[in-house]
Amino acid sequence: MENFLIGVGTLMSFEAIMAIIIGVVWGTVGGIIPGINATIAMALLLPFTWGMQPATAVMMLAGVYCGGEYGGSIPAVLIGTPGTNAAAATVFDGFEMHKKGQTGLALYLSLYSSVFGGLFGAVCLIIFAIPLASVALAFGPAEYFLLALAGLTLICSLGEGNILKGIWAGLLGILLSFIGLDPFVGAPRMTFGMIDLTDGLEMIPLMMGLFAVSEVLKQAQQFDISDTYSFNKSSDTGMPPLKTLASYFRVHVIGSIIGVVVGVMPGAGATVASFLSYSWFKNTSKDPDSFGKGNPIGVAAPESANNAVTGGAMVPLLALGIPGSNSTAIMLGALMIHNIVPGPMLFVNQPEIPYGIFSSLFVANLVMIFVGIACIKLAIKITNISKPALFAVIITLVFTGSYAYNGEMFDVLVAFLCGLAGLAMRKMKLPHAATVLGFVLGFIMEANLRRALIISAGSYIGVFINSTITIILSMIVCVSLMLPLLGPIKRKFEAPKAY
Amino acid sequence: MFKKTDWIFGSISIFIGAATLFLMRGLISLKSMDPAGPAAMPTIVAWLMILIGVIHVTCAVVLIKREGGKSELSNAGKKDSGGTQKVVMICVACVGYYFLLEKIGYIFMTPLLITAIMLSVGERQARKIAATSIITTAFLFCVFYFALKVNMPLGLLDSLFN
Repeated sequence: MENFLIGVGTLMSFEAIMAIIIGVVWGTVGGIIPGINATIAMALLLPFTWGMQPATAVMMLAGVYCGGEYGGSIPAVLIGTPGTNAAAATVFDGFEMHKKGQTGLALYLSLYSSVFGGLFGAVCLIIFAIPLASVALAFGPAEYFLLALAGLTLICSLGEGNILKGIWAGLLGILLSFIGLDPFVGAPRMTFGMIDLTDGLEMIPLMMGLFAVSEVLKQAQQFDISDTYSFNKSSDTGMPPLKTLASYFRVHVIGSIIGVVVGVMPGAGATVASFLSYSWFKNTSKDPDSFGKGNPIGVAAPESANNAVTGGAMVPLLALGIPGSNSTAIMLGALMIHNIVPGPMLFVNQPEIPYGIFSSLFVANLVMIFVGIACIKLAIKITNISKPALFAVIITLVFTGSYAYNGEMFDVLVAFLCGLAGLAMRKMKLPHAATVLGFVLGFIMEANLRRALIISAGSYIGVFINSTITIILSMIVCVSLMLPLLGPIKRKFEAPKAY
Repeated sequence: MFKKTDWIFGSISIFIGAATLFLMRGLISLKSMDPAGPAAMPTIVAWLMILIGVIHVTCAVVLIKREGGKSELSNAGKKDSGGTQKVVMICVACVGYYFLLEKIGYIFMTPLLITAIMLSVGERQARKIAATSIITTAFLFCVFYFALKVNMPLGLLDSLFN
């Protein structure tokens, strides 16, 4: 408690508060722009922190981190283009809600969920920083492989009426993640001799192509200039009553717990957390078919999880000195610039730094409410333009964002080709969301399975039962696989009762 | 669960699976520190894709034989030939953008892309097209080039900025 008060004390200055506000605004704007995620936004701000006090610099970056993880949800809802990888799961239901005219509910629910997740993560960070760090250390390659496998079970339930198509789309994503140099022997796989492919496909152009370009092409195909000009004039863009937002409390709590636990594990990150959370709620829902068709839980679950990650990801960084994600690696860089070495001794020698970060996460999430409301109002106005203009702006934004990510024209081509592939997948009723999920988890799965096989001396059974955690995770995977398969059978048996 | 048109999807699935197996043939013998090796996972995925493809082709053939009649896809194709034309025009504009962006530059090519897309979907109001092209290009260029310090392709204006 005493240390926490020291942390709060460091916040009590005009400089610190302004640093957090600037950080949140910059992070949110960065999150909104496709191609600029929280990590890039933090990296861009890093040079400006050199002249600051160490605690203020880290607080500013914590603000960017929170804002960046939230900002991606705004374009995900309004134009079906996730601003960040972590907002990909928000597109499934957020964009559908927007199409149904529930724009206000989708946007404010994502804001409320993000703030709740962020605050929950901060509380967990304060209370469980040290014990959670030991959880992270208990996770080895086998556990990571099973965690990714648990996330992948979502693909079984994504195929509309055809589970096999959902699985196939997921397999395609996994296959795409194998493109490039093999992580163990360095041999090129499926590169067709192209130098551009040796680094593999980038997540941002692939995701924006599959989601945004394919959506624009689909809508352009159906569009008639004589139709209504506004994108969705009947949309309710107002803020829903707090009672409505608070009714998703259970979703927020569970989503946030998933976010914190995943955030603690180095390498997993906000994208995995949001997909896992979405998967959890879809698989345990009484009405799983409503997901992907504008179910508000499909927005609340991933958004609370991906913002709760911010708190969780700080645990291995501050307690062990291990950056678990790209964003925390930038944070580590900022600490090292100021000659601060993270680790257990940081809590003893310079408590104002870790506890200052804890307190700044609280403030950043509260600031995010106001920044979020302002951004939502502005974004709604921007998207209320004519459909032809919106189509053109989305495609331009996707291509510019894809180019800006690496400065390579090849990424523009990837975004375009993924858009065409996404359109073909829509025609064949293949869920491209499963492809994105497969792509996200494919690399984690393969790398960790192969590491686990080295440890278990080639025994596949040894991978699944080498610890209590792997046994529990194996059971979760089995149950997650069975639930979507049992669903149709159960409904078949229940159907006669309806008569 | 299955449709008569699923033979198309099934065939594509078998082709991708077979192509992956073909590409992996050189990697199977490659020695790695891990027992699985670089070809293991892609091979598993490829076989699963082939299996799913075979199931779809078989089921589609059974359905066609049982029910007969035209495929659903050929009927659907006739309905939206106008829509397909729009998509083709947008794609041509995108391909042109990809090939000319670095040579001509972002500032010139982006308004052209926006104009081409808006014209493709039927927009004919010149003022609206001009406003969207200029404002969007100017905004994105300022954000990425000046604020985010991204080296955008300058093309013909390279000497002016450097």
